[in-house]
Amino acid sequence: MTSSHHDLATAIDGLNVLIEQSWQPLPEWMRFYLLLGVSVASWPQCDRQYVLAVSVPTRSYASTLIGAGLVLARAARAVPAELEEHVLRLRSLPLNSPVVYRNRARKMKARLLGFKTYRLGNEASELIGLQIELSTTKWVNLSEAGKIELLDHKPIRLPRRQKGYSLSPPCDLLRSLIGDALADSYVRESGLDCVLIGSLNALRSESVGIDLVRFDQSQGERQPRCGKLSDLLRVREFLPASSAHRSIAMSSSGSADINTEGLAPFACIFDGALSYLKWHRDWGLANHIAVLDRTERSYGEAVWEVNRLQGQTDQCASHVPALPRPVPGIRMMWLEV
Amino acid sequence: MSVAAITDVSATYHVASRNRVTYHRIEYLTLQRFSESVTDLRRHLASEDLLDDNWKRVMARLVGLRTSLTIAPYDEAGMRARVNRTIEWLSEHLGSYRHVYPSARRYLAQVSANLAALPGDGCDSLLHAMAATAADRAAGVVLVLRASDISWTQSLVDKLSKNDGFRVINPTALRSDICYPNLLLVGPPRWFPPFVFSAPRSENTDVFNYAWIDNSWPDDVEFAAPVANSHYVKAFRDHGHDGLGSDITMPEVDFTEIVRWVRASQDDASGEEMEDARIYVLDGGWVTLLESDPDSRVTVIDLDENEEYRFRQAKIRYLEPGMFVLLRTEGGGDYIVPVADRVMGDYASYARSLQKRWKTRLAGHVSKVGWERAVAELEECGAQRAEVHNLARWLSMRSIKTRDQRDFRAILEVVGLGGEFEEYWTVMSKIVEAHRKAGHYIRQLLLKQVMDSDLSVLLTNGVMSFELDDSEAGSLTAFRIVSISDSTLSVSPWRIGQAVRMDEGIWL
Repeated sequence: MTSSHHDLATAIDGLNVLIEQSWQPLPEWMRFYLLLGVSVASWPQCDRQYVLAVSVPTRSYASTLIGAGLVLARAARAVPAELEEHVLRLRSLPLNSPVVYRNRARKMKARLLGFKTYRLGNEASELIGLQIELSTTKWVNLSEAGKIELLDHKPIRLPRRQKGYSLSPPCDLLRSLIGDALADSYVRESGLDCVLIGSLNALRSESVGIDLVRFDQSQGERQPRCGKLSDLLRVREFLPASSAHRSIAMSSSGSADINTEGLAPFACIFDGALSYLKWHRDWGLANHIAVLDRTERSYGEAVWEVNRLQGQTDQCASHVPALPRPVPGIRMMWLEV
Repeated sequence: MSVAAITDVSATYHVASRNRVTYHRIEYLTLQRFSESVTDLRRHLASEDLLDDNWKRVMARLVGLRTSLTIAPYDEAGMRARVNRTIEWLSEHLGSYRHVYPSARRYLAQVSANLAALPGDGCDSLLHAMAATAADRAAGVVLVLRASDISWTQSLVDKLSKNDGFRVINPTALRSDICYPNLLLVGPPRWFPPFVFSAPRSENTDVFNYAWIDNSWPDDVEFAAPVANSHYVKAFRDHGHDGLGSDITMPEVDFTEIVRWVRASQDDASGEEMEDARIYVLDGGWVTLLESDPDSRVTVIDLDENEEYRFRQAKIRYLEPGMFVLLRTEGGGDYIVPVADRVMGDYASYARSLQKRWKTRLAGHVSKVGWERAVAELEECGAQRAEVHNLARWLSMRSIKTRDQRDFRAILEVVGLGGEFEEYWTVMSKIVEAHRKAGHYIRQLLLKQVMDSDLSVLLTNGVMSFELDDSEAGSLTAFRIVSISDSTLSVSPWRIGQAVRMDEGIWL
């Protein structure tokens, strides 16, 4: 676990949850799932795929909590490789491709005009050109490329003048967990840390149904820092259009046609045995977390499938993940494919 | 499915680490003797090679009774009524066999004597043991294996219980996140789904099982190489009884009995086209026949899904025990047809007459030249998918036309209607469109109904009726699938999708 992950784990320990109108310390099982997500985020990114199967007495909230821990922990660590990847993708776009640019508290649509190098004395820096109004071009430093997001629909019309839409600031809880700077980019820059596959209604209700708080000490007083699980998970499908997201959700009953905007998720969380059995082959590039509820009809079949995969792998894993100690009632198995 | 409250989920994890199982071994010597005599009779018939179809029926009836008495509590009146029905049935079916198989007479006499003695002393011992335990506990649930035993058991519990704190449920109800302070389980634990023990929903589980029956738990699948410190806490197992007891095993559906019933009640009208079907045993003692074609569709209710996908057309190949299938239980036949006819209005009779005409001609042709020859002729006429299984589907009254025009043209050529292809194709396309609209209309009616319904009833009882606000759409009933036959049988198309109630003789 990296130091940033350690800090996050410590911050999670201090969380409280709203239960029957009162703030109560996070139940052990909720804490475990958040920390499990944090642990998964530290898996190495390599050509190997990791599969974690979690056998649970009920799947309620498990996937959303794991997902929240995972995306938070991914945000809390520096990922220059991902920014480079994003810049490469921008470079590959045709001229005038539609994008969204987010800056401070506003977002606006724009057209990508290309790249140019700007020299100031001996210093050279590369800039990205964005047309944001009919006669206005904005040049953005390459290091801020994360604020530019691809739009999947085209073409767009640019107005004569564009104020843009105001962006909601990050919630206090997010700031408290990962700090102001990271929290700002968290709500302004999209990323794809995980795909949640299950019942959309259940995932939505679970993520908006959990209110969390962390009490920070400020000037000798306890300051409540509130937020919802959905503020941490930031699922594209549950946010207003064009909001920056960190994860996407897919119905296990729907079709496979889901737009990942050219991004490969770090992990897929399969909410339930049926989701796992139906979709795990379609997400071969991502790490897999299968939440298997023992009361499900397909539970046995899903365990059989995980065991079959385990039988096919070599037994010498290149990486042994550190996993939090599960609460009673939970059983886990991981494998490297 | 609604989202669970955090407190309920916390309770689920709490009981996972604290579940305590107490075993109550119930003595009821007469039932043990009856059970053993049934086993002796079956062994004798098998060893003497006397188990013909008629004896299999008798054995299914006896084993069915033994199972029913093993998995639910009875009072004396209930036991007597149950036993008397079986005695009457046996006297109807067995009189002559006493003479045909004299060697079995001794065993049969033993069964009859033990059967007659069942309503005597001890027949309500399980019920009283349960009531005594319930009296000590404030509230909880009684868990019975079959949904069909819920109302019966609830009436007994209500009668004996001093408070109304005990509700009777079946295992499916334990799939929710609701936990109960006490769970009284009736019957052999091994017959229950593994999650009753591996994902418990009560801190205290009391098992009420007859003393001579194995108390071991059902086998649960396990990870091949679990993480060392992860576990789900196992409650106390009754090791003293593992593997001991009688030969009573989990009852299985006797599909041969159902096949016999289907064949016996078939009209077998000469020349009537038949369809291959598979038998689906449904909760509450119901049975239906659904097309064997794995790509044909049926409406299902999947309570695991969100509202968007809860009601949907699912391919037969994806049906499995535990799912809910929606069948028309009033009006008979395919519920889409009358509504589709109404969509077509006056045009319906003309359209249906053309549909019937090409199908009748095709059926007649196949019966005249045979399947292989008919397929070859279709190929010669340009059909792209001329294969026996496709031909069987085209013959079905439930298919309206082929997908590919070339297949349909070939069919009409073969049956002498090639010159009218354009007219037939247009009319069949209109029927398909009407079916689509009818399906959409009925789905909307159903959705409205279901939105207003408490689906926990379906989860608990395994059966739930929906009265649609349209007299022609009739009523629909959702049934939980209990078992699906491996083999198929040929039946009249009108029998497909009909739900019929069977008696206890379908259990082996």
